[in-house]
Amino acid sequence: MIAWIIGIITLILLLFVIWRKVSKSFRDRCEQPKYLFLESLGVRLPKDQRSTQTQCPQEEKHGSHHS
Amino acid sequence: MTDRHALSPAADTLIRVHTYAAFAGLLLSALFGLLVSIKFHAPGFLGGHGWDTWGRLRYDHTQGILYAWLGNAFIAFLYYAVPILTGRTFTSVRLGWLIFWMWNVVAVLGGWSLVLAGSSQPLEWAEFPLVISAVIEASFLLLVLQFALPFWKRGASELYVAGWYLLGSITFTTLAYPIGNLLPNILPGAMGAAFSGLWIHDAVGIFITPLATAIAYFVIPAVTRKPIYSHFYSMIGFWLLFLVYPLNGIHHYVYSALPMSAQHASEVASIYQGIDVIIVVTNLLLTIAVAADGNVLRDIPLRLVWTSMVLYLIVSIQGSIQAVMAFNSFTHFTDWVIGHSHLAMIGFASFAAMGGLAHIWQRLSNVRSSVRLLAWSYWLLVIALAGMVLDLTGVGLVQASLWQQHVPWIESVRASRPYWIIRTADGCLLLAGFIVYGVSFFVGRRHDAAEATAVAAERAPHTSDSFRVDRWISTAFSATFGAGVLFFLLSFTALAILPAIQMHKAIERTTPPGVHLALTPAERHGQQLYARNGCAYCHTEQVRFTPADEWRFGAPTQAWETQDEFPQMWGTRRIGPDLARESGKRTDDWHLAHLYNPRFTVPESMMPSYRWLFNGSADKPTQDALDLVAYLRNLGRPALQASAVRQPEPAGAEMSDHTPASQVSTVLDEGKAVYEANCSGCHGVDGRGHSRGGWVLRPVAFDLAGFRIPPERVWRALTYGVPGTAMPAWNDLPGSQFRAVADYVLSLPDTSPLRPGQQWAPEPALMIAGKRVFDTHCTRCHGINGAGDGPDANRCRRSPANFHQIEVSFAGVSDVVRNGVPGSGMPAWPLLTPSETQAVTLYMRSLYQQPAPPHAIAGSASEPEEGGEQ
Repeated sequence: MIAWIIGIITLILLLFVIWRKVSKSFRDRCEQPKYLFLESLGVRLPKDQRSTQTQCPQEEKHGSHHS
Repeated sequence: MTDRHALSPAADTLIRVHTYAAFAGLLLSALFGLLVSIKFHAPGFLGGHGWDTWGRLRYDHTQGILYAWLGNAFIAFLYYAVPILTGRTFTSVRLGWLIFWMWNVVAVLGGWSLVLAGSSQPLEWAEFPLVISAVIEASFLLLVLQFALPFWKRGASELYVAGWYLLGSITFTTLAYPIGNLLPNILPGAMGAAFSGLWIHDAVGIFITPLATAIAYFVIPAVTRKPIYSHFYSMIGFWLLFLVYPLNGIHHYVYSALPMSAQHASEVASIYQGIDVIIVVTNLLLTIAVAADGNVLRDIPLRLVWTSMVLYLIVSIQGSIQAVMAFNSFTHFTDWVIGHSHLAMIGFASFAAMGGLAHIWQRLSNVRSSVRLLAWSYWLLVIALAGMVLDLTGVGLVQASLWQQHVPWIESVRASRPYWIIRTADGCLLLAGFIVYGVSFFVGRRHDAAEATAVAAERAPHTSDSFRVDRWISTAFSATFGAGVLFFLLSFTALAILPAIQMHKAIERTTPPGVHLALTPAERHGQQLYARNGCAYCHTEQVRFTPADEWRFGAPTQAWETQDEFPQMWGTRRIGPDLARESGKRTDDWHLAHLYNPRFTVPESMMPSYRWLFNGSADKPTQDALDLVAYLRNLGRPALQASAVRQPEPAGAEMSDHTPASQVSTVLDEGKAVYEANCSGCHGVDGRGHSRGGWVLRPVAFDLAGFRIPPERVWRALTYGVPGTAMPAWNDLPGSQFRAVADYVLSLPDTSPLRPGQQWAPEPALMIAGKRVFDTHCTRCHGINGAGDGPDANRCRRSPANFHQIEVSFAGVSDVVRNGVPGSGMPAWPLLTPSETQAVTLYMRSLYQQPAPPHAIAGSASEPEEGGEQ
C-alpha cells in the first residue's frame, strides 16, 4: 500500500511537470502568483520585464543566460 | 524596507502581543533546556524536588519551544502575512484575543505548570497532559477559523506558495494533532507507538516546517524585491512535503516490533523527503543568487532566513541518512539524534522564525529595533549552534561506538561527560544569543508612523488584471489540496491503522498462554510516576532487533508484551540503560537505594536523585517509591514468564581457565579501577560493605574485605549475580576487566593470622573457648560442623555461611558480631566479649578448607551466593 501511495504521488507530480513542459499557458500561469505577491508588497516590475519573465519562467531565462 | 505596511491597529496589536509572548517563551524554554543540560554533568543541581527533576524540565523545554516560542512567532507572522497573501483580513479580532489567551495562558502556562506539578504524558512532542492537548487542539481549530477563511474567500487561483504553506500547516496540524496526542492513550503499547511515531514527525514536518518555509518564501522576495526562482517547483516542493512527510514517522521506531513493511516504507519516504528539500532549498537559494546584491545580503532578517534554509537542507539530508536502517542501528538513541533535533529546531525553525519576526517588526510603526544587536545575536547563535551540534554529533558517535562494544553501560556515561559540559557552555551562549535577539527589538532607532504605508489587509483582492485564470487550472490546484488531505489520511491508514490491525492479530497469535500481563494497582501507579517524571526519556523500554541490543539487554521486545501499556513508553533516547528486561535483575532495596541517590549504587551515575519519594533516608520510602519499584520489577516479567528471555553468553564462561593474577600489579590496578567504577557504590571503596548505598540494601552488601570466598564463587557472582541479593550480573564487562576485577576482589580480604601480642590467650585455650561459643550460639544455623546446615538453616532468608568454604577474618567477624548482617537473618551478638569473638573467629578459621560433611557439600554446591550470611 505504501508503494502505491508513493507511486501515485510521484505520478501526479510528474503529470504536473509534463503538463508544464508541453503547455506554455500552464507554464506562464504557474509563475504568475510570484509576481502578484511582489505587487501586493508594493514592488511593481516593469511591464516589459514582467512580460518577458511571464513568457519565459525565470529559471529558464537564467539557464539560457548562462548557456 | 520594501513591504512596509500600516497594519490595522488590531493586527498590529496582535502581532506585538504574540511577539512578546514568543520572546518570553523562547527565553524560558531555553532556560529549561539549559537546566536540563547542566543536570547531565551535575545531577545534584537544583535537585531534591519533584518539580525540578530532570524529566519534568525536559518536558517543559520541548513543549515550550514548540508552543511558547515557535507557536507564538508563527501566529504573529500569520497576522502579518495572511492579509498580504489573501488581500483579506483575518476573521475576527475577538477571535484573535481568544486564541492569544487560550494559547498562552491556558495551554502554555497551564501546560508548563501541570508538567512541573507531575501531570504529563511520556510522548515525544506531546508531553502536555490530555486536558492541555484538548485546549491546543481547540486553538488549532480556531486558528483555522481565523486564517483559513480568508484563503477560502480568496480562492485558490494564483495563490502564492507561502499562502499554500500557511494554509496547509494549520489545516494538516489540526488533523494530525489529536492522532498523536490522544490515540496512544487509547491504543496499547506497540499499536500506540505507531501513532506516536507519526506525530513525532508531523509536529516538525506538518506544523513547524511549512510555517518556517512560508517565512522563507515570504521574506526572500520581500527583501530582494525579486520574484522567487520558480513558482512551479516551489509548488512541487509543497506537495511533496505534505504528501510524503506523513509517511516518515515510523522511522523513529526502526528495528522495533512494528511491522517491518511500515519500517521499510518510512525509510523510503525519508529518502524521498530529502529529495523534496533539495528542490525547495535550491529554488530559494537560486532566488537569492539571482538577486545577489551586497546590500540585500546584509539584511539581518534575510540572513537569518537564508541561513535557516541552508541548515534545513543539511538537517533534512542528515535525517534521511539517519532513517536508513543500517545507519539507524548505529546512531539511534544517541546524542547524535539530539544534535539533529537541535539543528532542526534552532538552526532551521528558530532561525526562520527569528528572521520572520525581525522582518515584520522592522515594518511596524512606532517600534524600536537595533540592527547592530540583531547582527550580534546572529553570530552568537550561529557559533553556539555550530558548537552544540558538532559536540552532540561527536558524543553521539562515541556513545554509538561504545554501545556496540561489550563494555558496561557506565563507560558511555563517563565518556560523554566532557561533551555534556561543552554542550552546557554552548547552551549558555545560545541563551545569550536569544537574549540579545530579544533586546534588539526594544532598543535602537524608533520607526515612526509615517514610515508605514498602505494597509495590506485593506487592499483589494488580487483579480488578475493581465491574465484570465482558467478555471480548470485553479480547480486543479484545489483538487490537489483535497488530494493532499486524502493522502494525509491515507498515510495514517497505511502507517498506523493497518500496522495496528496487523499487530493486533499478531498479538493475539503470539501471546503465550498463562502469562500475567495486567498490572496491579501499585504497579499501575508506579507506571504513572515513571511516565510523569520523564524516566522513559532516559531509559527506553524496548530492546531492538539489533545484535548490540540483544547482547546487552536480552531478547527483543515483542508486540504482545506491550498490550497493557497506556501509553507506550518505548522512548526515543537512551542515557541510562534500557529497562525492558529489568524484572529479576535487581532487588527492591537496590532500586530504592538507587532512586534515593543513584551514586549510592552506581558511583558514576548521572541519574537525578528522587529523594522527594522518601522520608529522609533510603530505607524510608514513601508509597510512591514502593509503587515505582513495583513497576520496575514488572518490566519484562511477562517475557520471563514465557521464558522468552535468552540469556546472553556470560563473559565469565570463558574464565574456567582463570589463573589468579594477583601478583601482577597492573592487573590489580585495572581491577581496582573497574571495582571503584562499578562496585564501590555498594561494597564501599575499602570493600567492607559499609557504604551508604550498601548498608541500605537487604541483605547489606557483602563484606569483601572481611571474608575470603573461593575464586569460582566470585566468578559465578560476577557472571550471574547473586539471587536474593542486590548483586547484579556483570557479564557485560569485557573479558580483561572481568578478570581484573575478579582478581582485585580476591585480593581484598585480609585474613592474616593474629600476631602473638594480639591474642587474648594461648591458641589452644582460644580454640576450646571458640568451639564452646560456636556450639552455644551458632550451630542452630551454621550446623555442628560449621557447614551452614544447621536445623534452622532453612528458616533463614539467606543460606548460612559454610565456613569450610569461606575464610573469615578477625575484623570481618568482629564487625558481624557487632552489627549483624541486616536482611540476612544473622543477628548481632552484642553480649559476646572481644575475647569470645576472637576465640570463635579462630575456631571458624580452623574449619576453612577442611573436608565438610558430604551432605553439606551437596547443599552448598547449589548455592550461587557469595558467602551466605557471613
